[in-house]
Amino acid sequence: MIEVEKLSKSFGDLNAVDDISFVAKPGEIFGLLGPNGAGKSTAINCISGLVSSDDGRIDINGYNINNQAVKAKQSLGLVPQELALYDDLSAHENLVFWGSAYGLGGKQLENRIQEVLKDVGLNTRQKEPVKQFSGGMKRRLNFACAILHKPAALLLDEPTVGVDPQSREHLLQATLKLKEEGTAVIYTTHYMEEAERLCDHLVIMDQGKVIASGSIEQLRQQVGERDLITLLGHYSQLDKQENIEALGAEVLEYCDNEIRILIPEASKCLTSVLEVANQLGKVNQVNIQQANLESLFIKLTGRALRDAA
Amino acid sequence: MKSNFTVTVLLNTFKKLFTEKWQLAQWILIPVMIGGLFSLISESDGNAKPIGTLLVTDNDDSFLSQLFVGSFNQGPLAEMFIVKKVSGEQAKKIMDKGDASVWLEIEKDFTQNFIDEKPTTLKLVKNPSQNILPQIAETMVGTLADGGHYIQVLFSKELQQFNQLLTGANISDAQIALMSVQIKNTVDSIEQQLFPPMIKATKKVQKSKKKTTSKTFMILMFPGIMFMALLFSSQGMAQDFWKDKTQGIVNRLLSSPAGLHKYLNGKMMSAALVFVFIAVFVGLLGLFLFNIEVQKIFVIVLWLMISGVVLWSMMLFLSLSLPSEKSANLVTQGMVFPLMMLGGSFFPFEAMPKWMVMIGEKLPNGYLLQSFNSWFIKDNSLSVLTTPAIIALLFIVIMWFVNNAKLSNFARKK
Repeated sequence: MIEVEKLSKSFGDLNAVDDISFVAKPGEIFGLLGPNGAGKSTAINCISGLVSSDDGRIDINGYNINNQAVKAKQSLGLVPQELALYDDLSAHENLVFWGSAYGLGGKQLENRIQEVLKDVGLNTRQKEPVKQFSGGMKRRLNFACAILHKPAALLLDEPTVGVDPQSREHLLQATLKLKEEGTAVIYTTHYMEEAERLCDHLVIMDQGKVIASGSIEQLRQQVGERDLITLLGHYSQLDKQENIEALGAEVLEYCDNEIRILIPEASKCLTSVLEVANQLGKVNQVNIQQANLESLFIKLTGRALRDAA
Repeated sequence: MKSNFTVTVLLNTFKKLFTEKWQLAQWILIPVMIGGLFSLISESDGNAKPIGTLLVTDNDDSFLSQLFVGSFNQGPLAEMFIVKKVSGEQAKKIMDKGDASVWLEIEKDFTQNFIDEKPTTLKLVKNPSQNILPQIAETMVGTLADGGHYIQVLFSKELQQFNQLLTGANISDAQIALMSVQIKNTVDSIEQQLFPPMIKATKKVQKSKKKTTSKTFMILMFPGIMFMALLFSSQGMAQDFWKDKTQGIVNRLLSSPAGLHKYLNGKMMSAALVFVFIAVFVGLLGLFLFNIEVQKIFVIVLWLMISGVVLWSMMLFLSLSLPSEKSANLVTQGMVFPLMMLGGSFFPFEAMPKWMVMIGEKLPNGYLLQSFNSWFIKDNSLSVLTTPAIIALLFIVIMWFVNNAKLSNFARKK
């Protein structure tokens, strides 16, 4: 279990993490969702001890990260966003190094190495130097290094950034396996579909703060059974927002080149929406999406998740 | 079964090092090459002689005293000594500054006392910071004094007459002719001793069981070469921390229970083993080239290991203090050459100006090299290394704590 209470961390004037609290339970994948710069990685770094927090309490498996650091770190696995591998050494040698850092040795270590290599699909490449691996293979090895010691809690910081579909699938499957084995997993990502597929519980962060929290279903309910319509074009009458609202839509964004609205059953009222939009300016492109976490993020922040940074 | 992370770090560092064999070779071969070239440049036959200054205060200023001093301007001695005639006061000042190798003072009435077979004094003052040249001068003066004694014994009568000649006494041609005949007769009577009949001899060189250290220029360079290898390798291995950092290892270790101190220990142990490897290699080279005693190799290896860890700790401190890999590399590499130049690795201290020696001796590598030389070159007892060894070990312990504290910030730094 990972318990975070009132965690804060600033870098100069920037509040990277601002008074956040959550609990990741065993056998649960807990998603930290947010755009780049939302504070997800800083939160992960504080939890893993890479960065010291300014305020708050962090317990890993019942051990405080500051007062019982060795025991807390022994219970924790970390898959950092940046790779932590020796390029000149083989996959096996890297695993020996990291296993040893967690106190593993001898036959126990060798057995675990073979298990995790199989889990991430690298068992046939274990003697090759890491520098010969593709980016995705390196990511998989990075993941394997973190789970060698069977941690009670695992932190995954954007583990699938820039990886090929095959490696991504390996990583997602391995994460789900850990969940089944009872590991408490914190998973940070800015990929909505990954979060929706993996996570049991989600915290959405923006500018260091938690802006929404709950299960996927609970969060979806916040958006309601509505669709997201994005109208790209050129709009001049920026004081006529009420014309759209009169259609029963919730306006998320209204500016000179973009209108975003949440509206029930978009396909049925699309003609009316376009008519009003054409009165406000010129519509060039229309996108309709089912309500999802992205819609929720836009609703909460007024910005799209992937371009919020 | 639990494993020792420190040992894993040590083994990993070694594996990485041996995947970069050329780097390891470079640490050893460049210093050996530089040392070899310097020796060749200094003298093509490899037997270069050091050059020193011989101060002479000739209070007698006679024919015999001039003859005595002139012997330093003959043959191979002329290549070793620059003879300067100075007053007693000047000589004292120069010797106090340590700017000359040796001072020879010839007393007044030297010639008269010699001819009268009375005791006479030659004062020889040696520069304690030098070893070889003062010894050569002392041996030469001793040899000349012995030669003088035999001349007194054999030609006392002739010397008396010769003295009268010099002092302007009226001597007839007949007396001079008689003196010449007497000298010839004396030489004839001891001819068998002076010029023994030729004996046909077969030369057979038997190697002495006790190997001795020949003090050539190359052997003066030898400790410096070893320290040059230590400087190169300590710089390279300190820079390894930056390589690990850029690969994400150091930062990631912060979240492991092993802790950075075990990583530091592993790195320090691997550095110590590399220094042992270098010392054994260079030591064996010394054994082959200079017939260094085998027992001495053990002390050399131990001393180089301690000295290497001192230099590595210093380089690591610098490396961890700098903001980027590039700056750390530039600054530490930039320091290696001045440290080598001033610290006696490029030129032996004996061939360096005094001001440079003063600076060099205060540098960690210079201090450790000078201490080593006082045992290795000057043949002092091993106890001369006790105090420097204690200082070196203390330095290592203090720097361990300093570097351990810095490592934590280094790991967190973006």
